[in-house]
Amino acid sequence: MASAAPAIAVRDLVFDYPAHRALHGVSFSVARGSVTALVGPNGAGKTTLLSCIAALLRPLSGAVQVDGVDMLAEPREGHRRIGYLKDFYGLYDSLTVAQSLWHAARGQGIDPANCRGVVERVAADLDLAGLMQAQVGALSRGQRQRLAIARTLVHRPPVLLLDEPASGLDPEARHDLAALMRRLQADGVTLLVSSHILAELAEYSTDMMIIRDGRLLEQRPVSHRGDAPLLRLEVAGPLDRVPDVVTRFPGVSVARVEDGAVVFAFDGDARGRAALLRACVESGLAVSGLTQAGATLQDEYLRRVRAGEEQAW
Amino acid sequence: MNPELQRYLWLELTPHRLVAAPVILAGIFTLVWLGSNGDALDHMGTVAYWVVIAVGVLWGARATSEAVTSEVLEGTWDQQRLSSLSPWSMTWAKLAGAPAFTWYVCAPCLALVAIGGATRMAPADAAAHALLLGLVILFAQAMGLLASLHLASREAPLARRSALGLHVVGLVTAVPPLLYSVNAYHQGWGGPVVWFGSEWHPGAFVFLSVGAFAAWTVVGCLRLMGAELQLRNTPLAWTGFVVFCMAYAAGWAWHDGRAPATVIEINGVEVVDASLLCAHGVALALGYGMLFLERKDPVSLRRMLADLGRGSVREALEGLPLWTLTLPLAGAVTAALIVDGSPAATLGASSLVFFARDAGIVMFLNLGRRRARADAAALLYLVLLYGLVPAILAAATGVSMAGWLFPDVAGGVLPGMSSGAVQAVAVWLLVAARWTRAWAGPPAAG
Repeated sequence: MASAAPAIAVRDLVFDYPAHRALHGVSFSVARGSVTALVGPNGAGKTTLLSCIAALLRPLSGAVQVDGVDMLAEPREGHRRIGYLKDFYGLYDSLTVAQSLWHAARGQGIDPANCRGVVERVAADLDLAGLMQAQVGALSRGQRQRLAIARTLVHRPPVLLLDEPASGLDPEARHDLAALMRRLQADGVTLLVSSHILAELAEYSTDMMIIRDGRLLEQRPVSHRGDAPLLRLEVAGPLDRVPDVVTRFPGVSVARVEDGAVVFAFDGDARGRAALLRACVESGLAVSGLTQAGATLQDEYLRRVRAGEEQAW
Repeated sequence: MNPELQRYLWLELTPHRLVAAPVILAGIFTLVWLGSNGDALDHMGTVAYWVVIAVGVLWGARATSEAVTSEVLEGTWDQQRLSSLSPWSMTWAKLAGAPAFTWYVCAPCLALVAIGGATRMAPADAAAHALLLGLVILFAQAMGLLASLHLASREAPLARRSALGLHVVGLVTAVPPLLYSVNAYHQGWGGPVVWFGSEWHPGAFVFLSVGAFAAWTVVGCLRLMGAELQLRNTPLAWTGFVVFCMAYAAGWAWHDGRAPATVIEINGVEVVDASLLCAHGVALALGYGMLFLERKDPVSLRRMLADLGRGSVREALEGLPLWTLTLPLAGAVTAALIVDGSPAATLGASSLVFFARDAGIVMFLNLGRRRARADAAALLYLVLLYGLVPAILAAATGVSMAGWLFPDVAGGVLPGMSSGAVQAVAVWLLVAARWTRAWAGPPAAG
């Protein structure tokens, strides 16, 4: 198999529920080693799409390949190539953490002789080593989530599908999750992550895929990688004049008022930002702050979805 | 070790259970020993027999019947489906693992059944009784797993209340061989069984029969497990099972002029060799059973038609509703009845077209927009069509509705088929119209 082949290749995927069509001929491919944020409103078809890729649902038509394996023809072989973390973790509460990991490892065909080492490695990676003899039912939500991720990673799948992985986690656990995503990406794992919390996805996504009403609206690299970052300018006083002022400055684009500040894209460096600030002050604006806007992905998502709505109208 | 089996062993064979079970059994059998007057082993064997039934059949079938449904309800089933275990590994692990504790209890009891029985019969016979009982338990437990897999594969979301009492399926199917088994343990094996004109030792025949049906049950589990794991199933297994059941039933009514015949009287004419008729009846009965049990969701049908449209015959066959496969089998037997000049030919042909009509009614209701209770509604309409309506019309007109509303037994093949065929065509035209209107095109966007 050529390593240049995409990690996930989906072609003309159609999935029907009895009362409605959930996926309308969706086609895309996901590059190896990328982290793709799968975003869209509730009911857009994200979970159905992930379940079709994971061969948990059989589509009406279309083709799905993961790591070169035809998931419709060889679903069990395909399961060796993926890890799929559903929003509901599906853990056996009566087992211990060690038993749970052993069960997952053997279920993915890991040789019994290697099982112990594999389980210890993944437990260490997910900070579960101290909990090996704890009963799963007694774990906190964050610990359960780490165990669920450990189970999906235990066989070192090249492709990882995550459906709302941060749902219900506290801020610290979310931060750890983001760190884990970056680590997995550095290890060459391809991630396809569905989430509503776009600010979080923005921390580690390389690509974004927007799905709406079962149709793929857009797939593109996330702009914070190399593109102009978004800045947030806070001004003490009225904001109506601010977009005009900042867009006159070279390198500034797409300025708009949002949540008591003006958000705009700016491709300058630190020196450029200093010059921009000076220009704003000299224009008579009472500047009270300039920060990088974190919700890049959300901006892009909203921009694309709103554009789609306008087209629909 | 199979990881799924290992998981069950962790959960089922806890240290507490491993210690408590032998202690309780020892207490029970000590009490029996002390209360016996010289024939203690025989009494212990009898008590052991009932312990095996209670634990192996009642508890064991319950354990297997929850093997899949409990996982669906607790949200762990999708993780199992994402493993790379084969359907066979998953099936046998669940079959052996879910009731592992019941076998831990039953194994010494089965030994006691053999030892106790040996005090009043040949040791080989006593051992055969224990083996037969063990096989019946296996059959009941396999039926429990089959029911569990079937319920999990239904289109409607699984509700906890619908999974309750599922083990009754295992219990009910185990009742006939259990009744024979209990009676034979105390009264002896009984007279020979005549099947396809051959005499069989009754114990051996029941053992082979239960073994064969248990094996078919495991095949059914394997098939449903494969479907759960998104693997394709050819319709060969179901076809094989129907043919097996047809042959099994035919064997009882086979008459080659030597052994006493099982005579069936139809319209005053005695059918001495009713083997074909029995095979026909079994095929249709299984067809009706599958018609109600199988998924009839429009999406599966649309997928099958799409496969057919693409010329993917194999894929289309894999999606073919299994009840349709009984039609050609029953049709072949009907043709044999006609060629044979059997007095049962009219009944065979007539019941075939009425089955086609009934299948159309079931499908028509299942393709409606409100499909939640379609099968129950179809059952009600069939009861009305076969019971109430003919009775009212017969009472009002004094004319039998045989051949008009239910299968005819006399009057010739073509006249017997005509009314049912017209009704079947009419119903299927309605089905086609409903399909075209509601389901043939892509559904609305969600």
